[in-house]
Amino acid sequence: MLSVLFGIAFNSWKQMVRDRIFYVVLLMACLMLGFSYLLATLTIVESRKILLDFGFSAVSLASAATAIYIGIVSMAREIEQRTIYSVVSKPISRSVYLLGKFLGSLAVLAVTHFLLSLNIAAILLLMGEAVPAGFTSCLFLVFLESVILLAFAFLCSAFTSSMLAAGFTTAFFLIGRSNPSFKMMATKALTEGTRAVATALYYVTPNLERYNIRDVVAYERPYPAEMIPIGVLYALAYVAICLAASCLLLRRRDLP
Amino acid sequence: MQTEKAIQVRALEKVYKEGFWRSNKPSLKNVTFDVPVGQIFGFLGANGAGKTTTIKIALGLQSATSGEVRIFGKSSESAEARTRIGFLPERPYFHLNLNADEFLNFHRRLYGDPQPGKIRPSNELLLKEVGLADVGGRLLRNFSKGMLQRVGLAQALINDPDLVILDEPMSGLDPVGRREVRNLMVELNRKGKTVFFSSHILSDIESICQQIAFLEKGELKYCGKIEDLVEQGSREYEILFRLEGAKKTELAQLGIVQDLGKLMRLSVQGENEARRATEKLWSMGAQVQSFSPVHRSLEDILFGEKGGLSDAIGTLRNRV
Repeated sequence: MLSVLFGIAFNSWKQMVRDRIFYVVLLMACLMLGFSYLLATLTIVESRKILLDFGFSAVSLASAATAIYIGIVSMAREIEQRTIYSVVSKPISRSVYLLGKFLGSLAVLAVTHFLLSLNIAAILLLMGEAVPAGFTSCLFLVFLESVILLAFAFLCSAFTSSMLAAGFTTAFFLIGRSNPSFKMMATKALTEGTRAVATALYYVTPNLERYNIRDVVAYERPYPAEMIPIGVLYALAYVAICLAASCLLLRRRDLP
Repeated sequence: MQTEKAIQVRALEKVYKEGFWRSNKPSLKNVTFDVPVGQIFGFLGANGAGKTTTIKIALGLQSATSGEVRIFGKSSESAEARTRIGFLPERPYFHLNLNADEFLNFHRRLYGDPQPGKIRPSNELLLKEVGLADVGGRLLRNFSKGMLQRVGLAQALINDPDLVILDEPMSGLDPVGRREVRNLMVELNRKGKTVFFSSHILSDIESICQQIAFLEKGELKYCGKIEDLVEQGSREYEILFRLEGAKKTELAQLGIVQDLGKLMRLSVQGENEARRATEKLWSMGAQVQSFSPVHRSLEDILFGEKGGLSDAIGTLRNRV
């Protein structure tokens, strides 16, 4: 079974790295990084902080966009274009197919993220700046966030069309980034009802802000060390839940 | 002794939920038939008749609302059954960013280790067999529709299957390609494989199939040998004759008359009617040149207005 799983993962990887649109997404990310370099060189003061601030944000957005794109292309588009037919009609379970696809997509996401991270490091070195403390941790947390998005894109792809799956995952990303505001709303709410709704939203929606130490690292302030292990556990739990639900949904789904 | 069945379809029903109110739309209605081992079996029906739905259920791509499909006596859901099947989908949508060799290697890997006694054919052999020699290194993205259909056929044969299920295998192929695929199916059958294929191109089915199943609006209308169907029902007879100064109104009472120049042609339904018409022609002084039954194609039987499928099936039932 492992051979089949890795076969599907490797096929998924090959499919993606030969996809022209994927390179357009990468190019956009590089342009954003180039823009942050340009902005940093045009600024008289705090150019290092501006570069880090913009650079981290660019990597974060590019990783999120890549995760959503890869997730949708790997699953929803396979179902819509019916390339899945000739695969799941073979003696393999749909769960193995989905997990293989996820592994392949994860590998593509990891390599993309690594290349983008190298890009910022290269720009820092080019400007004669040292890499700040927490640089790796910050980018690792951004990566974990994009892995959660990838798993959620798989979940949506298991039951709906690629357009809706992309929409739901983008909404998930935006809501996840605003999650702490629900807590703030709950504390400032004037009525019990509003407080209850805001509290429920805070606990139900994902907290992607726990993966954001970009400002802290850019301004070289300390951050709690436990953010990394907690972030890993939170991401593992989210990914496991999303993949388990995706497997269940895909197993029950009638292919079009 | 009971013949082994490659496919057993039992009381198969499929109901889709459609529209905003999720209303029921039946696609298959109590479909039951068997495909004996070692045959080329044609699955016929117009577009939307339920052919692809039946195939999808047989391959586990969709679930049945009720009923079941068994492959070589095993549930179609089981890995054991799937290992013995090769499948070509209706539209050859494959991973276009792979080249033909990578594509075949990927599908080969999905079957795991070969079954005892089975030798899986090499990519070169498969590609040669489907008429695609020397294209192993080309990306599928650069293939024509016909080439994709052929490489799809190659992946359907990669596990040396006992049962080959082909959904509209001739679609997208030119006449030469269609002929090659027909020959390939005959060759596979000669090697002992059961070939089950759907099509709405009747001439393809008539030329190579030993048995057919005919679906119409989700209902099975006929399952059996083609010759049983063709030989039944009221047959059309053709009488060629010469008659000087013939009165057309008088002749028209006998059947459909066509003036062929020197000769005239009279078409009559049923043997007794044809004999009566011949006697009448003789009495009118006609020189009857020939009297012969007209060969009816599958198309005439399934979709012809007179002496059609219901007539043929009715006669078959009466005989039983």
